Amino acid sequence: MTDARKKLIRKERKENLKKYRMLYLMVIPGILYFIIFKYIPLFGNVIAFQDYNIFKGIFGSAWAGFKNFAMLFQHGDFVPILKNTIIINLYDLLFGFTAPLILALIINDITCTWFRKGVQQIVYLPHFLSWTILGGIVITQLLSPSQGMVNMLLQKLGMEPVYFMTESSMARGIVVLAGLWKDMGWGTVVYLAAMTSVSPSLYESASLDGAGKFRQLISITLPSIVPVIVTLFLLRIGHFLDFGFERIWVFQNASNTSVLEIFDTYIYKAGLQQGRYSYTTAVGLFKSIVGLLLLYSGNLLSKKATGEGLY
Amino acid sequence: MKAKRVTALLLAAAMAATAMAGCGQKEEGSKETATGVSESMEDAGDTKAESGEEDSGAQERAEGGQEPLKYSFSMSSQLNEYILQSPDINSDKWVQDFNQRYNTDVTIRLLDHKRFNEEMQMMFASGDIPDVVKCYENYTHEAMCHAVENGVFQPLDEYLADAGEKYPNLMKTIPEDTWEYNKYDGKIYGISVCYLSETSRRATYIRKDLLDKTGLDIPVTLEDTVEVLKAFKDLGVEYPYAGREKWSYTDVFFGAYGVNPLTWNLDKDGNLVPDMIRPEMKEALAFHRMLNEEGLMDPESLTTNSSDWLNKIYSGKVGMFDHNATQIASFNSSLKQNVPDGEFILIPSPEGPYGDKGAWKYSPVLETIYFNKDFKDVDRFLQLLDTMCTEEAQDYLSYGIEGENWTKENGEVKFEYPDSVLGEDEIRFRKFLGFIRDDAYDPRLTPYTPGGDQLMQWIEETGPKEGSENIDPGNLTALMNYPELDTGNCDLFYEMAAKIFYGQEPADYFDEFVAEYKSRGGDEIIKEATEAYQAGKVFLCR
Repeated sequence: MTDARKKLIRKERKENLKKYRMLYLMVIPGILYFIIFKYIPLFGNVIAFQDYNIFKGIFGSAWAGFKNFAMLFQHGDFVPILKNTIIINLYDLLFGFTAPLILALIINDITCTWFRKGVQQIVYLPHFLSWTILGGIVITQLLSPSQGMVNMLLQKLGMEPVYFMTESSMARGIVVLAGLWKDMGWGTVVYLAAMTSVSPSLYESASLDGAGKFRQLISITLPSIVPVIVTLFLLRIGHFLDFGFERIWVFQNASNTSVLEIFDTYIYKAGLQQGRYSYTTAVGLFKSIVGLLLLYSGNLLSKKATGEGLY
Repeated sequence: MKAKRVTALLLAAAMAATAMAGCGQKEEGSKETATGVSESMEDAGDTKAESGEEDSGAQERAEGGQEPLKYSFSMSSQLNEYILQSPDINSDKWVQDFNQRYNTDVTIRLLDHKRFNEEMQMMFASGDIPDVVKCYENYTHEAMCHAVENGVFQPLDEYLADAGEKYPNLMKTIPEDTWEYNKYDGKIYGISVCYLSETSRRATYIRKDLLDKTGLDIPVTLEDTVEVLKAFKDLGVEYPYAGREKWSYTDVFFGAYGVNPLTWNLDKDGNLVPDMIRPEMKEALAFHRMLNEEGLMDPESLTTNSSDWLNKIYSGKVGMFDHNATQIASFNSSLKQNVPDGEFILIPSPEGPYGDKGAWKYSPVLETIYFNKDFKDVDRFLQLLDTMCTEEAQDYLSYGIEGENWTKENGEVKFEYPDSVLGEDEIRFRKFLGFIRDDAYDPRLTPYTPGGDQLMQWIEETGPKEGSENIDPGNLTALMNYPELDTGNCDLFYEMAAKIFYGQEPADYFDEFVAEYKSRGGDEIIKEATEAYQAGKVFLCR
């Protein structure tokens, strides 16, 4: 590169900086936010390799190497917790991802506008309730053996009331279903938006050719929104293992802990309730690494299959 | 490709960071509010001191020229309605009155009762530790996070050297044997300001009106009790007996077998073991299972939280339960709002097959205060505590301001006990300010409470005969390695107990649990606990 050219580039840069200085200024708070609240706290992860003592701090605590990780892998509950985390997340991915899609397809075919709007409003609603409230409703109003609606219905039908919350075999199902109730409606928003952008002329010509509603759905609607589906799926994969603490916590009780204990709740118990910071940071780090591997392989698969990926 | 890897790494990093960032921010936030409060309080305190010309504090200052004793202290909010309803506890009228009266400048830092352990940890981790920290039991309590061992607080021996002369009232009031409980490495680190003169606290409550309807006598044995519960069920009582999650306040039938999920005792070989694994526990669980099968116990007991449980009791759906004996007045006043004819009475707890009864005995040390190593005014603070032990101060803490809340006529106190929980909690809060209290009962207030005679009778006659003696092993190293095996944390136990209670597994499932408990580190814990017992390093609850 000649000196003249370098000069030119430098000059251009300078002018650019001057011309767009407002835009550059506006970027600064965002960058600062990420540095201060996302990147600097990352260094806190070093306590996973220490015998962290809250009274001595990061700089005063002794180093422990991989002791905390070794403790995790040898822990009697490690395999069950990993298993629970993966199973619950798989269930949630399977049902939590497909249900909104199906619901959106159904809502999309409602032709009566006011009815469709009404249905949409109602299915969105539970999304705005917190897990604490929603969990309370599910446990005391729906599933309680003495006053729950489901059990009253069962009794009316001549069946014995079921103690849903104490049957460990049903615990995961309840968590996943409650999640569906809460977020299924909200999940339809993006799909419905994508469906409105499908050209109506496609449907018109299809029906002229004699294609029924179902045929139209399979051959027009679904293919048209495949990019949206893939993007949403990848975003979801990115949150795999991040099931969320609250959602499990509200449903956990003495009789179902063994099937509902996931990394998030375990970290809360061992870390915040029992004060084992180093150990739980190690657990969190391990979880992040597993999540990263899943994200990476999910993205790879998606690229091979559809040509689309997150990055 | 390289760039992609970097992106992926950053993504992972961001994911890992979220949890950390969350914690950090929370800490930051609480710190800010804490200092914010203390600042505004300082202002309030100053104006008060300037305007309060006539109060005794100002007089004393004029005489001795002493500045107000300034200290901050942390305590649990204890679900106290009066505290919860106060917008800013530090500008509360009682805090201000206390400041004037005793020439102090108090800053209170409240910790959420339900998340007490976490909030204490956060406080220690932030390094912003108040001058005086109050915590339950002795220094080995979980929420103390080994703070005494880590040198956060100062030893008090120096100040207590000639305490008998310097603080005669304090030394007379606090039971002598409680000092031992806060000795670490031969030095005293804490003062058990809240103690129990009677360590059996939890009593069996029964609905007298329902019992009268059944025509049965007050039950004595477990069999009698089952009879009564069956009669309650026939009367249509929804929950003849009700417990709550983690078997908390669900003690009497465990106590009848001399065990409790929370306590430790010697087994037949002389090892110090948690009651969770003692064979009597199996019998106690089988008994609860029978109660559930017969429909005599709330089947939702194990998933019911404290407020739902109280609501069931207040609305008259419960025939029998157990709670602290001192709560009899508030249980009755809440019940009467829903069931005008309803009445709870305290009865002797049912006696089990081996003659055990009641819940379990507490350690005589209920709450202890510790002094930050940077706190300079320990001498003056002890002086204040000494003052708090005087008749005059105790009158003030229990009754309030003389002439306003109570009067004295012919040497007799005229005082009206509040009829609401809020009013009761106001008194409790005022007593928190003075630290010193006997939590078994308040000899000043008890005569004025509805059912006060009953409570006195329970404390004098029934209480001392009840409750299982037990041994607190203190801080064991093995429990730091296996905290999930500690009493109160042991999910393994709670799940086994629930399975037996609901009939999902036979009672013999207990034996599997014991084997697993021992193999997962329990053996190590028991060995250390037994050694601690033999070396006399444990704390006795009797």
